[in-house]
Amino acid sequence: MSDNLVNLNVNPCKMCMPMGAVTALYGIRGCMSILHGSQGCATYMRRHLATHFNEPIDIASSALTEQGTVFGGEANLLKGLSNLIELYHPEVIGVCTTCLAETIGEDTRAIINKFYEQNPGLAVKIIDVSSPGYGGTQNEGFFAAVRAVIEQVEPVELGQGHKGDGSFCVLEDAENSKIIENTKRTVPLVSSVSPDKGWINIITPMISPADTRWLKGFLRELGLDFILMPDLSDNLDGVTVKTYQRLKIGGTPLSEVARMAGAQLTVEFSEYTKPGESPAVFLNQAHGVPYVQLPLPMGIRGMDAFIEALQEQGGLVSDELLRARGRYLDAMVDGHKYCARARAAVFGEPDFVTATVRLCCENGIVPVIAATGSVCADLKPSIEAEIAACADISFAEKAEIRDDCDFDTIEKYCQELGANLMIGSSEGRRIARRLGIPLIRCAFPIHDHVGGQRVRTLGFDGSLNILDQVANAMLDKTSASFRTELYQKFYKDEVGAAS
Amino acid sequence: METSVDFTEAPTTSGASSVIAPVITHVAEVTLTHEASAPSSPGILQERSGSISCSKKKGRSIECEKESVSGAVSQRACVYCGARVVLNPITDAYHIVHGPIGCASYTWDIRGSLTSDSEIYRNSFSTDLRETDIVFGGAEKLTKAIDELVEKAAPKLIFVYATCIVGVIGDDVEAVCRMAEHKHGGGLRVIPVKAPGFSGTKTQGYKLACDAIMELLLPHREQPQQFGINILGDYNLAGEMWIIKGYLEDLGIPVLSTITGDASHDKLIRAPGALLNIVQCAGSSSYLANRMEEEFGIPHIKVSFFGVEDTSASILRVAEALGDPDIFARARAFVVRRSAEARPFIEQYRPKLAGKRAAIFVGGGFKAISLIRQFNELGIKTVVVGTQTGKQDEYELIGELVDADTVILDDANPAELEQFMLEKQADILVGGVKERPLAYKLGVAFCDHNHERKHPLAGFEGIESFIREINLSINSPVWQFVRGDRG
Repeated sequence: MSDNLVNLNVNPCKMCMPMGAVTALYGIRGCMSILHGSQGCATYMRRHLATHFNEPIDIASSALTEQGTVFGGEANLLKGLSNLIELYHPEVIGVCTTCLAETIGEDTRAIINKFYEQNPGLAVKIIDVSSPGYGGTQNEGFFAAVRAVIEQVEPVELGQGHKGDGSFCVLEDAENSKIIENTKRTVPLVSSVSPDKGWINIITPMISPADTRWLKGFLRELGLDFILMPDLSDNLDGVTVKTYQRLKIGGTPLSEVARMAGAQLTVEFSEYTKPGESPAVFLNQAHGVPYVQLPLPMGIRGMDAFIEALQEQGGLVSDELLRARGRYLDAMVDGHKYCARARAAVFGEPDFVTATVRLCCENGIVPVIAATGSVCADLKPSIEAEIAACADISFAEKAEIRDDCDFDTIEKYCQELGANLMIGSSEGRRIARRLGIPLIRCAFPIHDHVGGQRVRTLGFDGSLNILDQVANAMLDKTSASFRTELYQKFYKDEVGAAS
Repeated sequence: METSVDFTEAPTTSGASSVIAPVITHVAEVTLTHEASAPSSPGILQERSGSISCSKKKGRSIECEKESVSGAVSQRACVYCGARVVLNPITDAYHIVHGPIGCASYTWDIRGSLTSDSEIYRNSFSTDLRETDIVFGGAEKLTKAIDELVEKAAPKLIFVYATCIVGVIGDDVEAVCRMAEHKHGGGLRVIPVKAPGFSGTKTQGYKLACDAIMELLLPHREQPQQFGINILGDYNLAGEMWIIKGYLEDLGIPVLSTITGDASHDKLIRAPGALLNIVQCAGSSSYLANRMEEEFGIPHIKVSFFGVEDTSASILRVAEALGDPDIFARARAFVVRRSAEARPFIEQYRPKLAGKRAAIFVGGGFKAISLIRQFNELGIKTVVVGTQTGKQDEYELIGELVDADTVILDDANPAELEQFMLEKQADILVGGVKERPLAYKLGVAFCDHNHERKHPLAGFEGIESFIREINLSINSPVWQFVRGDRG
């Protein structure tokens, strides 16, 4: 809500839950989503995702009508499921609710069960995700979908499922007693797990495909086996192919999701998921998998915490990794004086804001505004002290930390607190343009630039990508203005010169 | 050639008798080579086949103006979207979206309508309903929001869009709006737009928007008639309305009101005094033109300012309708001159474009018709043409304009676009942003012809930018490398 108009959200710094849910489902292999609601929801989200990722985005809709709204949308959803199966042949379907479906009280699980009954032998795993548009932002929707998939896929214990020949065993869906087809398939291009060695689960919030690729490479570099959930890297940053495939078949296969229950640890990159919403907590409570919730691996402390956690799991730190760390520290020193001029407005999802704020504070960039559109009371206590300490170096009087925040409020504080830089999604561009300050685009959505899918923020390289942009923005600012500014400030006409 | 990763599908041999048999016979597999793969499965649902015409022989009559098929992945948005598209360009209006945040978020300043004055319309206002509002109702929150807005911003015009759940939870938005007008007085208009997404198609949203405009205009019906016209259904995308208005004013035809490109409260209420309405986007605004004819006695003509042929014809028709021989003479001279001036440009590019094949997928039928004519002018054959919300008579005209084997489709989905673009070997797709990545993945060039575009495509100026857009994509060097890799 806005500070200026307290009963209105003016220029939203958030999207709705189903957006996050369908995004997360893009990280599941062979998955298609259907939104149970009006036709528009699916189309709007497709447009948003397509312009950010520059990939074809297909999301079905049950296209609820007046009649469906009054008498229930069962017929629409049943037909929608069978139509999208005919068109896409998915291995997995995610049925996500919308504000409409939830408000009229649709029992999507019952409808899905009916669909199974009507189609015996159906070899499609159908997951239901509760994602009412009023229930939270895309961030909560993302985790809701990840958790729903993990909850609804029957786990396979270590050693049981793997036949060692590239095929995975039959998975029983206890609830429906439906059999997921025993399919022989080559091991996909995601994390691979060997049966005789332990593995860890990695759960991320929405991160870019490029960051996801980095994350997978990094884990491999440390010699760890892992299951990454979800994995957006191939499906939302595709390659040119000879034959276009309507169904995206990168992403985490359900056969691997089924093995998450047998992991030695879950690393969840979120400091804010509540126990009832956290996939890691679910795996812990249901299957006894220990877990650790870590900040996104950004900045020196974020990376050190991640590396330390991995070392405890048997991860091996190579000389090359130590050199990368050293180069990062070296670069921090190189840029620190320029970074110190920055007064940043950091906005976006809570975990992104937190990690970015810490990165800023490590480098003397004062985050004068840290804002999220989500309701997240824990944001302030977790970053307040360090922002204050960073601000104190140069006696910056005030910083504003806000949850449930809109861009109208962010703009107000950008002006009041003298922000000279914005870090977040492209939605900050209007403020940046009005105030004549640079915007570092590194979060979803990015509508006005290409390359949303390639944004790098994680790891030493990703952190440095942000840091270099901050330092260079400050250098550009100075070099564009210092001659005129100093001339105007200090030059006086020579005494006696003709006027 | 270097081996690269290729996601392809290989059919398996298992069969099954279920209705969903294709699922079981269709197992995805990751291969590491460019081995020949099975073509994508057909993209046509039985239920959709009536909305597709593949040849003149089988008749050009298709099913349209229907609700989208569940699960078909329609490219259409919803009723709310239709209403918002039409009303949003009113620059000094406060557009309050009453509902959960999504609808406001996805429609915030995403369109290229330009303004000569207020920037208010580029902001998003939403009551951002939460769980508790769903339980206890959101009417009070809406009332407070309007009160606060009136107090702080002194608006003249507020539109309140009721989205999906508002009616379901029982908020009486009409009453809230009526009360607000009454309470605040001073000529403030607070106009409800009851546009739950499920209550029809995008076309229904257009109609609701037109009704909202009528609601604004009706109190101003008593005003002296002036020599001048209104432009309906032009949203001033990339300044297109300004281009057209410029032509008309140069010919001595005053433009009283523009609905809704670069419109404002004060300019809109002049509309009932016009002699004639000209309707550019027929899909969204014919209904408004009809209502204005009924209520104010203003006749209307349909126009299109896309391409030399349609732009010229439209200018002449407007001049003719006004019945002033001087204006008509000037219009004819203008059209002859500008058409001749456009010719060298077209001829310069024609050799680079002639013989190419185009696919069209746009919002309304009238735009599609103009595009087919434009492509004809360039020697480009239209091989696929579809719209989101075209009407029967428009499809009939389309059927007459295209070749016997051109595919015509209503409310197409990505699977159909994919199938027909490949089958008909389209070189370029004209469409909206959702279709762009699909075209690119299929190795097909692309031209934006939607509300987000930042290049004008209307009028004689638009002809040049349209041709440039087509050329720079269709003849880009990237395709030779990409297609090479695609084998």
